[in-house]
Order: sequence, then C-alpha cells, then structure tokens
Amino acid sequence: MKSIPRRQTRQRVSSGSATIDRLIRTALALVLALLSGPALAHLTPNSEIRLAFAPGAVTADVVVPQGEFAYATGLATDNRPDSLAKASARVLADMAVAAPDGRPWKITVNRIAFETIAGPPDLHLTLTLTAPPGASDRKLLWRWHVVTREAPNHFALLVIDGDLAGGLKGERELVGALTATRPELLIDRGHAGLGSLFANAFRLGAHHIAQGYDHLLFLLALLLPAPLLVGGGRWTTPRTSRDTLKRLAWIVTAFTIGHSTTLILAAFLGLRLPTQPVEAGIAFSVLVSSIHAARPLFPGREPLVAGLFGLVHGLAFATLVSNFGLGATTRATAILGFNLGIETVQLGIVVFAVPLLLALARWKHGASVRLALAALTGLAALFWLAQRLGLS
Amino acid sequence: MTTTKLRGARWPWLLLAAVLLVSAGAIAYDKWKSRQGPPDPLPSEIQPWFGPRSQIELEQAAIVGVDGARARLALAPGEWLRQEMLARALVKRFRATGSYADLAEADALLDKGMASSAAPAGPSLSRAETSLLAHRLDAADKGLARFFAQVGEPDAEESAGAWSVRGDIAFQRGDMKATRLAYARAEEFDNNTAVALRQSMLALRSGDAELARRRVNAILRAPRLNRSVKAQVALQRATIAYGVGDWQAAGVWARFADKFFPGYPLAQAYVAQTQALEGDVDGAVRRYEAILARAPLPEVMDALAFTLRLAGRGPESRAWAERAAPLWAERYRILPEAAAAHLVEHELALGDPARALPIARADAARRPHGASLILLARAQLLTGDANGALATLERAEKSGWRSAGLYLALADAHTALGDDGAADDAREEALEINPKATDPAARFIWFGHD
Repeated sequence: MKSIPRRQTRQRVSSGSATIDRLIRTALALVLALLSGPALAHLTPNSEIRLAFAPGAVTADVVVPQGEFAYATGLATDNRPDSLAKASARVLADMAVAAPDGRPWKITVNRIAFETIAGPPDLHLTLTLTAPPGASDRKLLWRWHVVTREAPNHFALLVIDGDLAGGLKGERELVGALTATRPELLIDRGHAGLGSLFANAFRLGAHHIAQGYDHLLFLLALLLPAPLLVGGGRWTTPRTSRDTLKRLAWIVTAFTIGHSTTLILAAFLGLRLPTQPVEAGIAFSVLVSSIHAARPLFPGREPLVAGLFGLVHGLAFATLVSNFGLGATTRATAILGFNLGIETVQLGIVVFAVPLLLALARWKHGASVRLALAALTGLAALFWLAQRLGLS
Repeated sequence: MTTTKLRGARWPWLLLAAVLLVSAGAIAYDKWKSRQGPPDPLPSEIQPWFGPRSQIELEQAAIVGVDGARARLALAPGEWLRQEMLARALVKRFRATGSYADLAEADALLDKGMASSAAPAGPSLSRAETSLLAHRLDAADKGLARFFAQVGEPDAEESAGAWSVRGDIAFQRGDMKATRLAYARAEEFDNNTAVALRQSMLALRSGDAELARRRVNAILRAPRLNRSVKAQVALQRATIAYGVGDWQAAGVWARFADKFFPGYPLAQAYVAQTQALEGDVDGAVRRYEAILARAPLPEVMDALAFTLRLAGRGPESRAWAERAAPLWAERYRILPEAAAAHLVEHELALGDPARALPIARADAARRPHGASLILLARAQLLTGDANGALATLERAEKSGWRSAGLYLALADAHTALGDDGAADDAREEALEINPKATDPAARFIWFGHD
C-alpha cells in the first residue's frame, strides 16, 4: 500500500499564504474542487451493417441512425418517395462493394425506409449484393463512407449475421468497425460447397427443432392418447400395439408433410406471414393438443389436425430458410438438409417416446399421469399464448 | 409421544426461529436503511450566506477584486505577496468568466512571485493550486514541495488545502488510493466543504454514488456558503444524479442552481440539457442560444452543436462547432495543458478524431486518470485502433475508476474487436451503475455526464 508521509512539525518562519484572507482561501479551495468536472467522451450512435452470405448472393441489412444521416447529408428524413430515392442514391454513392480484382458487385436496394427499429428512428435498407461473373460470392471488399465522410467521429460496425454454407448458424461474427480513417474491410468467407451447405443446413434444422419446445410439445401431446381407444367421450382402454404404431406413424407423417409444405412454399415462393400470429397459432395448437390428450376432441382425425397445424409450424421455420441462396439447386440442397435435420430429431424423439407411451397406456396410474402431463402442457401453452399475444 | 406433547416440544424452537428471523430482518433493514442515507435536502431549505446574489454581481466583484489587487501591486511591483494577491483575484475572475487569459496571467504572476522570493517562502500553495487549475501537475508538485519545506507551522486550513491539492494531483495521475489517503489527511486538518466536495467527487468516480450524494447533501445543508458556491454544489449533485440515471433529481438540482444564482451560464446549460432529456430539444436549443447570446463560451457552443447533431440539424450544428473551434484553439494556445482535454472532447464529438488523438495521448500521458484515458480510448477507437482503446480502458479500470461511461467505452472496444460476450458484460456493468446509461436520450447530457 502506498503511504502518504506524515507531516513534520515545524516552526513558522515565513509563509505568504498565511497572510491571505481566510475567506479568499476557502473560496479558492472550493473553486479548485468545483473545477474538477472532467471533459469526457460523448457517444454518437453508430451504424450497423449485417451481411448474410448465401450461395449466389449476399444480403445486407443496413441501419444508419436517422439523426446522424440527416446531420451528415442534410437530406430529408421522411418516407416520401423522392426523399427515399435521394437517401438511396446517397447511400449507394457513398458505398461500394468490389471483388478482390476490383470489379464491382451489383447492389440492389430491396427496401428502404426511415423507421424505428429500437430507440430513435433509423434509416433502414435491405440490399442484395451479387458478385460479378466468375468472381467468388464469398470474398468481397466493403467500402463505406456513409456519414463517416462528413462525420469522422461516426463509425459503422460490419457484422456477418448468417452464412449457412460457411457454418455460421445464427450467431454474429464481427468483421470490424468502418471509420473515416479505415473505410474498407475485406471479407473472405473461404470456400463452401454443396456438401457443407447440406451438412450445415441439417445441423441448423436439428438444432432448431431440438430447441423448439413448442413444436415438440405439440407433437408429443398429440401422441399421448394415440395408444388409447375412445368410449363415452373419454379415453378408455389401450389399443393393440400394432394399431398404436400405425396411428403414431400417420400422425408423425402428417405433421411432417404439413410443415414441409409451408417450408418449401416459403423457400421457393417467398410465402410469409407476420411472426406474431404464427407464433400465437403454434401456442394455440399446443393448447388444443393438450386438451385432446385429456379428453378426445377429434378422435380418429389426429393425422388431419397434425397436418393442418403442421402447416402453421412450417411457417415458423420459414424465417430461417428465407436466405438459403439464389440458385434452385443450392436452395433445394439447403431445404433438404434443413428438413432432414428436423425429421431426424423428431423421429429420434418419437422412437424414444413410443415404448413409454405404450407402457403408460397399460399402467394402472396411466390415466392420471396422462391427465397431469396434459395439464402441464396446457399451462405451458396458455403461458406462450399470453406471451405471444402480448398479454403478459 | 402424543400430538399435544409434540406441540409442546416444538414451540421453543418455533419461538427461537421467530426471534432469529425477526433479528435477521431488523439487521437487514438497518443495513439497507443506512445505505439509503438521509434524503436529499429540499431546495427550499437551502439558505445562502452573504456574497454575490447573481452572476453579474459575481463578475462585478471579480473585476473589482482584480482592479484593487492590480492597483496594490502597482504600488510595489516587486513584492511577491501583492503578486500572489493579484494572481488569486485573477483566478477568481477566471472562475467567474472562464477567461483563460486571466488564468495565464495568474500563472505568470506566480512564476514571478516564486522566483522573487527566497525559498522556502513565497506563494507556494497558490502556485500549486493555480498549476493544478492549469493541469500542470509537475509545477503543482514543485509548489507543494516548497510549501511543505517551510519551517513555519501552517494553519490547519492551509494544511488541509495543501493535502487537498496533493490529493487532486494524485487523482489526475490516476492514483485513486493516494488520492483517498491525501483527502483523508486534509480532512484530519480541517473538515471543510472543499475537502468534502473532493471526497464526493472521488466517491462518484470510484463508483460509490451514494456516498457522493451524502457528502454533497451535507455541503448543501452547510451554513456560511454563498449562493455561487451552493449553486455549483447543486450542479455537482445533478452530476451525481446523472451518474446513476436519476434524471428527475438532476433536473431538480439544475433548476435550483439556476434560480438560486441567476445568470450562471453553467447552471443554465444544465437546465437546457435537462430540457433536451425531457424531450424538448427545440426548447433546449433555444435556451443554449440564449446563454450564448450573453456568454460566448465554447463549452456551451459544443453542447449546442452536439444537441443539434443528435437532432440531425447538420448545418446549424456545424456552424456552432465552427464557432467553438477557434475559441478552443485560442485557449489551447494560451494554456495547452488546461485546454487539452476540452479540445479533445470537442474534436471527438464534433470534429476529427485524428486531430484529437495526439492531443489525447499527450494529455493522458500527463494526467492518466479515468477521464483522460476514456477520451484517449475513444480517439483510438475512432481512428481504428480498437486494441489500443481496450488496453487504455483496462488501465483506467485498474486504477479504480468506475463509471457507466467507462464500461460503455469498454463495450464499444470489445464490440469493435468482435468479442460480443465481453461487450455484453461491460454493458451490464454500465447498466448496474447507471440504469439509463444506454438510453439514447442520455446522449443529450453534455455537462456532468459520466
């Protein structure tokens, strides 16, 4: 510990300071204390560019703080067509994407708007970038002077937000910060073939379904009463094992056909629905299947219900497959890998669950356990429903 | 054993558990209560002592003081005591008007006084204090060394002042431990308001805003402090409130300072930024412009330019920044060390970080405390040296500096280096200190921000 030496006692000989008025000294001491407010760094909002690599094209999601854009360019920041056209032209003039040999990439503005994403409003653009013929679609030089040209204390973060073929699944990977003094960054994602695309898509599908508790709960709740017969509006005695397996196979197949259909439509025809109603629909499907597990609502028509709700579940997967590349082959490869990943995990869970379901149907406390599981699933579904409808 | 017997055997244990529970609750409540400290004084309870009642009166008094001291010096130009008195009057006027020319003249006078007096006599403490104001720490050290070399016994107040200056020097050198010890020694000699204010500032920059608040409240309640000083202490209270995201309290104390001591530009600027925080950006701009019409201070010009920038009003922002730039350049010419950090602040927010970098580097070398290091790190980050910025900020953190601003800067450096996990951790630290640290409106806080 650093110590402060203690004062030595002395006899006064002369001290000019001591003759100064006591009040003046107090005032000056306070002045010194009060003057110590330090100069500090003031933060300006930064821009962010998120790139998603897909075979054949790169998409860029660009966010520039509206205030900073107006400050730098003096352009109008409203959503009138001419304002947006000027903003778009300005951004395109202040940026460039090139192949390592200098040939420019084609930049297409898919969407531009001044809008609020989080906090104060931003200029938000979605761009599609296409490599020149013969050039790699995984290596590019990003040049950026938007706002930084006029405001050197502004910076833009360049982030890789998706690269399924390269193995990036959801997590961000920062390339660097673009500043006035460092306006260029080279991005090289290496080589990625159809094989790695398929494998990564498979892993993404498996990962997604393994973490998609609502999808799995829907299916398991639907399978829960499958080994049972209906009598008097209730689930009664067990079916034969052969019948049970046949029913389970129908339900699982129908669910697979349902979600694969919307998934493929989303990937190839761009079918989209807003996230909130889709997510709420999934929660509702879990609620319905939990009630059905307790009391038969649609006995014998489980495959139909699984297929119909499967269509809704497929829409939730669709957001993940929206950027699976431009070419039909790459897209088909990715969809196939993704779907097989989903089905593999799903099948594994069903295989694991079947003996338990058969045993449960024959156990003397089976009905109570089924009711308890149905109740828990119903509660989870209600919680999700309230959350996704914005009620909690 | 029967049920009744069982119940009988259990009740002493239940009673003991209840007693323990109540005791633990009482202790926890006491600890919590002691952390809360007494509430803020009501602005209506704060009473001034005699002294200037407004900024105009303060400036007039400062002018009269300088004129008087100058006349007395003219009678005996070689006397170091008269030189010291004029220097002190000039510092007071510098404080009132922000004139760097006054500070430079005071500095030169004290140089002369020190040279013309026989060591260890002379205006040593004034020398140290004024050098500190000019951010010349080595010169301040020399002044202090001469003060402590005096054979005579200084009075308690002088000793407290000297130890306070020693603490200030240690603080600016980034040695928080030595600062704490020096202020404690100062307090031993004389527990006055100046020491308490320093302790408050140290507590705030060490991350203990509650202690900072309590110390400042004690000063606000203290008798025998004039309106000007209490207004400045109220702004310190507002600064503490900004540090913890209590914008409502900050607004209360900024408005109090403005009313208590009318015409004070810094208090008016605090009120303007409060208006911006409350969403009235146009009102804030008008208020800043009104302040500048009376007092063309570059720090207020910068605040206005930055507010206009955040509002996307580029041409107006640039116009004010361009008006401030030559004023900062002039201050930098007169007293480079004193103006360096402010010039860096100006360049980083409104000018060119590349211009700020060498000045920030030199300032951080002279005064390696948290504030200077954060400025340097920002300059490094904006000029593409994220690794350098991270190292600089880690140095600030190691020194014991704790503020939301430090952790936000760390988050930015980590982000630029691609370490999102560390960036999130740093952001969480910042939010723990100041829950409003990442609120976009917080950018409107120019004065007293962390």
